[in-house]
Amino acid sequence: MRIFTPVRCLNRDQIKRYHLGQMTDVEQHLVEHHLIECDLCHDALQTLEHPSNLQSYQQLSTQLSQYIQKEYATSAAVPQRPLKAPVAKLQKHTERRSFADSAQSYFWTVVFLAFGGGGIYLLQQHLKNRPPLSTLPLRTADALVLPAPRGAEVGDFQPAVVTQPQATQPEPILIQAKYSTRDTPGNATAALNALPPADTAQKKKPPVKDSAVPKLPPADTNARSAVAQAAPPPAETPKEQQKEQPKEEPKEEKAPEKTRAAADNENEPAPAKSEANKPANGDDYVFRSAMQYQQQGDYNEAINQYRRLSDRGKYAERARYNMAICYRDKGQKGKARRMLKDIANSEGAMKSQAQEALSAMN
Amino acid sequence: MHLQLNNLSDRELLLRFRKFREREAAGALLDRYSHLLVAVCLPGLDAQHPAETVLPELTHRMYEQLSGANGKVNELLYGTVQQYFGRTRKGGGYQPAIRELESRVELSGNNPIEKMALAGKLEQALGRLIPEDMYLLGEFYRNTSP
Repeated sequence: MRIFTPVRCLNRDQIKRYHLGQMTDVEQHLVEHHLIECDLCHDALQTLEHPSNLQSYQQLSTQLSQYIQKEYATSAAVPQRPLKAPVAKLQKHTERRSFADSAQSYFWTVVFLAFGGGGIYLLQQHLKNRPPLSTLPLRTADALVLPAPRGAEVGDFQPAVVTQPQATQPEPILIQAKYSTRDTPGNATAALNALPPADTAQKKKPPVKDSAVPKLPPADTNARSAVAQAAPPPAETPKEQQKEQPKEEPKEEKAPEKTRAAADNENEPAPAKSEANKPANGDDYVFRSAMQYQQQGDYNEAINQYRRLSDRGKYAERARYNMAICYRDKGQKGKARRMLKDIANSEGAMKSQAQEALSAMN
Repeated sequence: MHLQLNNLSDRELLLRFRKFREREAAGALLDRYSHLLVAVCLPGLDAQHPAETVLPELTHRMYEQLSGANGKVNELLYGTVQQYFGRTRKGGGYQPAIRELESRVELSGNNPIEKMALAGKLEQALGRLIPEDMYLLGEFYRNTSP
């Protein structure tokens, strides 16, 4: 069917041939078919039916065609006008977009700097408000003391051992053996044989001065050395401390006052310095705190601290010497002399200093 | 480029002009109907309406209207010329039902199913015509067809 075949309007050649009658029947029929529905072509053919219009028609149509081709077809100058607007819009759009991108980058930079500055400020505030460093050694000392096996090996295991379980570990048996050797010097050799070889290695360390030493008579050198070897300072449990402290303190209080010379306090920091290289433990802390109290003039507290060390550990002799100095400075010279005499009569490392202090007091 | 545009149909040229604002497409379309424009305008040209003024102005009007045109260009051009010379259209144009039918015929394109459906509807409509009209249509379409 012809209804689905698109029929265009008449072109120049078709109009010319239609007027000249040079069309085929089919082509003429299609043109007339188109003329039914196209008023433009119908009026155009009606106009061109007059021969007077043909000449002007050809002339004007040629000129108009040239005008259109010049105006709309490939002209390079004319299209600049309509192209200006899109180009300007495109430039504005790109400018806006670049501005938005830069603004966004600036924003994120500022946010990053603000967060960084805030974080640094908070860190500084946190460091300022941190607890003072003077309290930290206490914790580290406790932390070092807390593990049971380690404290037992080192031999200075004293203050914070209250939390240590005793039933689950084999150490209490070993510790009990040491404890028995110290209380009964006669059994020291037997207990010494029962000790593991690790303890014998501990004997060679300098802090051999044990609290058991002053209990022995000076003449009994064999027993004293055996006890010194058998009872290294570390092997004490909290129960031992609790039991020993009440026993030892009355002895110190009941000791008779004797006149003795006191030694200078300048000698005191030397042993502390020598011990500084060793790991901190309870005795170190107690000794240092006692020295601090002594330097600050709080002799009563210093004496109390020294008293805790006077019967045991490597600081026993030094503690008793410093306690005598405290008594001397406090005004109780009789007590100070008596303690210095005891130290001078003993064979300890502080013998010469005690003698000097005694001579100075006299 | 211009030769390639001349091979395109009116619908494709209009589409390119609307979508891409191709001035050349509009130029090809106006050039295609320029001779008809001259022929239609010839009766109205006189001293007050010289060809040097009327034809470029009508061309410019057509160019402005092409951006919003979605129908047939020949009808648009004819309506623009009639409006320019203050004339009224003959018969007031097609009826809406005929326009709808024409648009359906154009949209059917190469779809055979749609074409068969339209052919069936047309045959039914032709069957309802009076014998005289049926004879006239039969003579016009069938006897002159190759």
